Amino acid sequence: MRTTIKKFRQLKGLTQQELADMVRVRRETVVFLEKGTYNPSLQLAHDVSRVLGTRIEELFLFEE
Amino acid sequence: MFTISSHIYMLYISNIMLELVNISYSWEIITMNISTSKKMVMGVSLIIGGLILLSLKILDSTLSLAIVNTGTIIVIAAYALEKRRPHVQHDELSRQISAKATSYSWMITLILISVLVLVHHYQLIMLTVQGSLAAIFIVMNASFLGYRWWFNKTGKI
Repeated sequence: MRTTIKKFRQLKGLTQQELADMVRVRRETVVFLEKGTYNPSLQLAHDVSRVLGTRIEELFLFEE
Repeated sequence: MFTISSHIYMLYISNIMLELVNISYSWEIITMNISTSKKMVMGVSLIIGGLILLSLKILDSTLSLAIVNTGTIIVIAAYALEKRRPHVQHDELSRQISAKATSYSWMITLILISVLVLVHHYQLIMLTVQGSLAAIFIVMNASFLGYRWWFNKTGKI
């Protein structure tokens, strides 16, 4: 899984800690989300996409 | 009579002064712009250092205890401040990590118990109840902490 969270976060001018605070997770969780090592719950994916003003499928890219 | 009471009074005042110095030093460290873990390490280092000084009698016991007190204040205050921070400490990832570390730790402990049963059955080592319980307790906790640290490091669940 690849993610574009970092790109959208930087476009919004947010730090990892700010994004983490907005979606109520730890900064480390944002780090792992950006690396694509952690598969989040649907709720967290929804919260991140809402904060970054984009759709879930634009943030999480699954290669087939 | 007057000499003894004035001596106790002076001792009391000096202890209060020492505690005030303690609190001011602790406050300096607590308000430093460094991470909580570093503050915790500083606090624990002061406690250990103070206890070493106390046991080796390098410094006066009052001063050694003052160092231990300072460390204790720093550890407690840093922990309390960290708990009050607005950001979330236990999010879904940390809960998953704890759950997985617990299950792995249980698995390791079950393996250890099986090994202990075999060791006891074939009388390879003379086991005592205290030794077996201590081994289980240590392995369970150590494996839990180890797995949690590893999952926190890698983020792969």
